[in-house]
Amino acid sequence: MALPKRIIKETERLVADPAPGITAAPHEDNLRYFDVTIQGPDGSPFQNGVFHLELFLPEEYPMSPPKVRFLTKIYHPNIDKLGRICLDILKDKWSPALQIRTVLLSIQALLSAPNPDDPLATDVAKHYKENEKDAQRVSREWTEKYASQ
Amino acid sequence: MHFSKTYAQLLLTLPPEFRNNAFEYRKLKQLINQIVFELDSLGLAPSFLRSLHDHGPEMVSRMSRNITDGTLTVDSESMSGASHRQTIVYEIVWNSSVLQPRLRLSSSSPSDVPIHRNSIPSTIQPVCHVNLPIPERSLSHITQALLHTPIIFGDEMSLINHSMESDQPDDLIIPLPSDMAFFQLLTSTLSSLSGYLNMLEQGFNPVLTTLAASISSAARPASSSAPRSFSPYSLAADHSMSLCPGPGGKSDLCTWREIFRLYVEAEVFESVSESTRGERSIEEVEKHLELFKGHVQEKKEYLVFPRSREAFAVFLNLNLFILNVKKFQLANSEATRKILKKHTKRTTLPIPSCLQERDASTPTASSCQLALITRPSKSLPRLLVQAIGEVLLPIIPHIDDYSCLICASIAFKPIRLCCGHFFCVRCLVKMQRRRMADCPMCRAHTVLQANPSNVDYGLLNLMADWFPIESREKQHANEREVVQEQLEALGITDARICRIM
Amino acid sequence: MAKIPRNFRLLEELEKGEKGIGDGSCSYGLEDGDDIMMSNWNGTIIGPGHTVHENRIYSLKIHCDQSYPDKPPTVQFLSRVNLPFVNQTDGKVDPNKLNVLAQWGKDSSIETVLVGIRREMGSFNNRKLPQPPEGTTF
Repeated sequence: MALPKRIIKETERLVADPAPGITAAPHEDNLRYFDVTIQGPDGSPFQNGVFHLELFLPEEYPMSPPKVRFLTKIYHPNIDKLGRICLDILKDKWSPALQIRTVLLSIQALLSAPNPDDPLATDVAKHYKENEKDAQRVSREWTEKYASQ
Repeated sequence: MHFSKTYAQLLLTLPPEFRNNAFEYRKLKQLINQIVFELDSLGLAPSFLRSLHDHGPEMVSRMSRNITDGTLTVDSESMSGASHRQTIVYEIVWNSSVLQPRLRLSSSSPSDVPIHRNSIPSTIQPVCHVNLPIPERSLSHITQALLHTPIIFGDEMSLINHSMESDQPDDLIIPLPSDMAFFQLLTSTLSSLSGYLNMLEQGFNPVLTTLAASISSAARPASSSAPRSFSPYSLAADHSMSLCPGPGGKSDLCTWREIFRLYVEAEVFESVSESTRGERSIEEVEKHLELFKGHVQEKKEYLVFPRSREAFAVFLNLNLFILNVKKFQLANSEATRKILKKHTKRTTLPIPSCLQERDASTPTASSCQLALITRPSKSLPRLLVQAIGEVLLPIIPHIDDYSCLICASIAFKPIRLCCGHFFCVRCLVKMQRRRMADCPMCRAHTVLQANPSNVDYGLLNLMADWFPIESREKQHANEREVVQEQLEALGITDARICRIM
Repeated sequence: MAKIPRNFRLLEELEKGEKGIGDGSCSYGLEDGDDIMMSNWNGTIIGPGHTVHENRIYSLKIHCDQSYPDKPPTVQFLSRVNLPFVNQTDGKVDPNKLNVLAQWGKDSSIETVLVGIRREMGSFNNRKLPQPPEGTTF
């Protein structure tokens, strides 16, 4: 089946005019499946890290949200061991007017602003709540260990 | 290559009317030679002044903003403080709208200077001082030369301006006539330049409005139900009211839309991409204008009306004109910068930085007057490009303004939700089936309330007229999708069965 | 239809497995919760009633390589069991002898493999096969 116009348009813009610190390129054999990189935002413990993600646009997209997952290990209260992301716009707060670009920018923003009150990785969240400084130290270590280029 | 040559060559590439209003680079350069001669005759040859710089204590430039009277004051003072009591001060005063450069031979302690500065009224306001401490042995040499020069003593100055009560009586004020002529020529050439640029802008806008009217008459929708004008943002709509529709249902609508699309995509003057956002350099503009011309070459052959072809030529000329204005402006600001640099280098009299660049953060009236190189927040080329974007391009409705944010195709048929946002009927039906209640744009709970009364017929007619092909295609696509869904609901999922060729 | 990439397909299966399926007679999960590529899985089958397998719990290893789900996973019994499609020296399941693997399709999954094996345990030919002692492993 032909790719919907919306996906074609989004892809064209993502490739031609990428958002700062973000790349997204579709797989040749599956144009709904994207290789994504996000640079860790400056001022966050993920600074200088480059994180790999995968993104998939399900058949229902944009009525359903894209599926996104980190492939790079990351120490973050809203991202679990398998790279799954707890972000409201990827779940109940999804709106069909949101786009791949906006989703990836939101994930980048989540790196700057972890939310330990809505955790996915409960142990990391606990660490962040009890001793934020030490938790950030671990986040920095992981960034250096797993996300440096 | 000397800049004067480069500058002259650049001007040759511009139309003659630009050339006649160009910057007086050569004359200013001659005046600098005269200043040097003048200083020489004062016994203050630049080589001597330079030696004061080199062997004297380190110069510290201190800038203080005198906000109360809205002028800028720059003081430079010697680090060594009171140890050198003899100093030469280069100051430029702003006296009844003329910049008067002069030298002040002073025996006061440099550290006193900033204190009495505050009491000076704004009528005569020194805007720049550079204190050069004079070694004892050179003093006699200077005073010797000064004997043959008309000089004003400090107390005479206070006669001209009686309120200058604290001026040091021992100060010698040495006017620099050639330097003054330099600044006079510089300010007058800059102000006539800005007048000329204003005139260019005044001339540009009527041409643009006429062009907009002409294109909108040629690009009127061919359909019979077409409204006689289109007006969401277009100024030109008023003009097209009086024009007759195209004969025989012909229209250049699609061709013009295509031309404008290529133009917008070419991003000739300004880039809108995330990584290179902003104004382009001259070379880039030239490149992108050529690219646009290349892309549009084939399209313009489809223009049916002679007036469309004429309009297209005018459109290209307007863009070339903007490019010329851009070149002209850049050349002039570069010439100003160069001549000031030359002034400093040849005379060793340092021009304060507040004269060289306008500080955009303190846009007081007098600081603007003082600035020799004005860096306005919006350059003329930008204003002209913006005018094209506001007056000309909107006369042809752009499909992006009428597309459904969900499917990215034209929002046909358009359903206007109670919150004011519109989407195509297919996408809203899909949302309702999934019980998605929130408006995708504003999250108001308006989706489930939508019913056939929410069809926006005004918008629907507009789309059918201005986007006949896109609307028809979308309508067919919608119908195919409905058939497909009905078959799927019946359990027939094999796409091959239901493809209606 | 959009083709779901391997990783997102396995994530879906994982979520389904975490929620629990059917009557709980089959279950599965990741062998290592940190395994970002989700290659190695554990499965359990509770032997069907009214057969020799009744009340027995069988452990299996399932390996999904990069070609999953285009190709079926490899399956290996950890608990000793006597079935015609299970190699009696190492517990490996012969994909050619097990229907759900031999006729692998786009609706097949780790779950359908486990359910398929359990169905085989209860089939007429296999329900009475003599079994090794309970609790022994390969």
